[in-house]
Amino acid sequence: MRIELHSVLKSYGSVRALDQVSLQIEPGQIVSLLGPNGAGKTTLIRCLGGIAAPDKGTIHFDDEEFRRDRMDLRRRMQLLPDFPFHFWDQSVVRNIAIVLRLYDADGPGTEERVLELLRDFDMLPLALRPVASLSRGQSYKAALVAMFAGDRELLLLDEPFASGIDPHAIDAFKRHARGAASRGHTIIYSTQLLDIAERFSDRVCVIHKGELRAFDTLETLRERARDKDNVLQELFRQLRESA
Amino acid sequence: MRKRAKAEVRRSPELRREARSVRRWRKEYSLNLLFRVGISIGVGTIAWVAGSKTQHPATALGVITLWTFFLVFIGAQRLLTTLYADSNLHALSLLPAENSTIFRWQFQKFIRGSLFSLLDLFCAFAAVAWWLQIAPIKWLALPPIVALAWVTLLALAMLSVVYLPSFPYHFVSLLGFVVALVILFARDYVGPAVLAMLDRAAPHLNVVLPTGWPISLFQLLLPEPTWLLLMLLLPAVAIILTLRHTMARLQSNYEFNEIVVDEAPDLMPEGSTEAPLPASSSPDQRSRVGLTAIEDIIRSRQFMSAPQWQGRGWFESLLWQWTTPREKTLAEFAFPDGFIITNAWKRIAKTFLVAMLTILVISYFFSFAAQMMLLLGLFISVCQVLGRVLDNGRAFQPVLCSGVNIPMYAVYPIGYRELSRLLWKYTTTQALPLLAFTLTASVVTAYLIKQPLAAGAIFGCKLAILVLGARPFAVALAFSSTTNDTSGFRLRVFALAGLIVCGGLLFFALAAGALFWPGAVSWVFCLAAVLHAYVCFRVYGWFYHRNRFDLMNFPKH
Repeated sequence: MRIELHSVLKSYGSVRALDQVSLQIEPGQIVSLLGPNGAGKTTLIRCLGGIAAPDKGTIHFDDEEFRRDRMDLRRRMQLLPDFPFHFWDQSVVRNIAIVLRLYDADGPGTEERVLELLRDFDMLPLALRPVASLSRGQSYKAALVAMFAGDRELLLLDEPFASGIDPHAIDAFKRHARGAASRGHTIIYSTQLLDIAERFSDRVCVIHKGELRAFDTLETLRERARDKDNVLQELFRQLRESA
Repeated sequence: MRKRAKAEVRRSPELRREARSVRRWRKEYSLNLLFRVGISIGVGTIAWVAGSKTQHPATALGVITLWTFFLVFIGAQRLLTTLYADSNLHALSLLPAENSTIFRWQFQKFIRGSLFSLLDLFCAFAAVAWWLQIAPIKWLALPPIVALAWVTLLALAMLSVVYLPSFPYHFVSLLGFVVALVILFARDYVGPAVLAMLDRAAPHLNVVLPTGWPISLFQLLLPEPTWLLLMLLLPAVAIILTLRHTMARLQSNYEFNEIVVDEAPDLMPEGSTEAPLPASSSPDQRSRVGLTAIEDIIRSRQFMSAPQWQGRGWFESLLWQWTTPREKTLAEFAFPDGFIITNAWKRIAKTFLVAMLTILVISYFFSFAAQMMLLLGLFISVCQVLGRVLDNGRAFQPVLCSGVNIPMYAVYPIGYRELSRLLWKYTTTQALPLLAFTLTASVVTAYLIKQPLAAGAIFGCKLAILVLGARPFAVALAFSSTTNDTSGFRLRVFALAGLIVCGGLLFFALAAGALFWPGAVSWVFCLAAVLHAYVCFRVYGWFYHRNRFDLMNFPKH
């Protein structure tokens, strides 16, 4: 899914969460959104997911303008907030089934995919447990299984690495995200962990005070940077100094 | 320290900005405060007007009794929200604090909020005492009476929460406000009738309603008091004495840790030897479902099959046949345990029939008490019915997420129209029992107030049509309640606020015309109200689809 943002502006009162953001994301990329707290990363993800409405500017998916009534476009993407929504009294597999059915992605073969994902995320022993009985990390893993089982073209994740998931699950997440990207799907996630962003993204999008400060591949950013080994840290230092 | 903090704020532009926003919040908060104080003064004024127009102190006290009775429902709802659904609870749960400490903190918050009802009582009693020009020394008796009435109110609210936690208190509050608004705006037309009815009913109300017991004690301050009224102190004190018990029950049941639930029973293969024991068994007695069994369950696609709720009754079966596969999926999302219609209506019918029979029997002996009981019975059963007919399930349940409330449906590809259609079908399936209810209620009311039964039947038919017709508007309101469509100062905010407020008022006006206008024109009003609700729904949908607002709102402070 090709994503284009044209001069997207979003304000909350006097605060500009997104200030004339324009960017273009090609299919099959993993994009990390970076920026200090309150920079506008979550707002950008919410705008892409249709939860927040830009005050000005447009968002296009595959050259088609995105609006809430475009259910065809909404079914091609999936958003995972930092605290995923669950039916807490229902079992993990039931939650997965509800999500898959909402996306109309419960066709034949889904069960094998769900089984594989549950195994990969170490969730198989907990599959029949109600989500309410799981820890935060486990419930997030349940949401990740539902997300990857749905296999949408655009995956939007808010702070997946701050969700309490264990190293094995982080590894599984990266593997499945890479697999999805290789199939032409786009993954956009926000994070504060620069070392993860350096290793796990095709493009880095840096936002500061709602403004797009950088949107490039890591190689290009490295070419411009003085400290080649700590590109993102240098970028953040510059942002702090400029503020 | 304060000086240092102020100097620090002055130095930093960011802190200055934050301080400004906090001041804005304070301004908003003080506006709420003003509004609430205005309500207290309003209650006092109404009590004064009722007393001075009828020249009966009991009528003025009846106003206070009714208001306090209404406050019991509001108090119960507020207590439930403060203890179990307050936005602070997320933060409090992260603190190293005991459940009892959190309970105490939240309970104190509830008590602080309830101080406004104390102010209501003060204003109302002061207005009545001023009107009656009671001796200055007798004013000293007012604070104990007010305090007694207030504590009784709190005790009743707590009793309600402990013994009727799932009662639709919010509907009672909403309906009460709607009734109050209708009376306020149409006071020129219905005011005299309402006042006359209240005048006749007040002496009974003050004795029948528990909130009236401490309030009736005010009559002892009047010349030639009836000292028998002191007897009412006994049940009032009995209610107050339950406080300790209800408080202990609330505190003991206040579990705030993550609830550990056993394996969901919905996926256990039938006859499986590995099926877990009931929740009551101790943890070491419970067996776990093995990995192979779980794999088999998943491979068999058992978990993918949608819940089958059509066998629960005739209405469920009808709804099942009527809904498309997509709507069944949405139904599973909004009502994960499936629809429960038949049994719910059976319960409503039982309660309603018992109430009606009691009223009919009472009417043989005390005709006026029967009317009062009818009003009370109708009020409660109408709340139950509206709660059932206009139920939205979990679709609009807000979830706190990164500092904002996002409704459940917004994260998934669920459309405005498709969700509305499902909810409309759910309501329409209940048309038959709804019609039966409104017809019976209206005919019995007509019989008791000595009106033609046919007029009662027509009234009941119109009422059912209006409730069904209001569904699209109610759905639009449900969507609106979880968005920020009316925040900020923009043109679309005024348009949407106008649509919601004026649309709502116009609907009520048309509905009132449909119900009370004589002759065939009333049916035109009825049709106009239904059409108006649908037009409002479509207009709101236009704004919704064009991304004119966010599908989230900021939690209330």
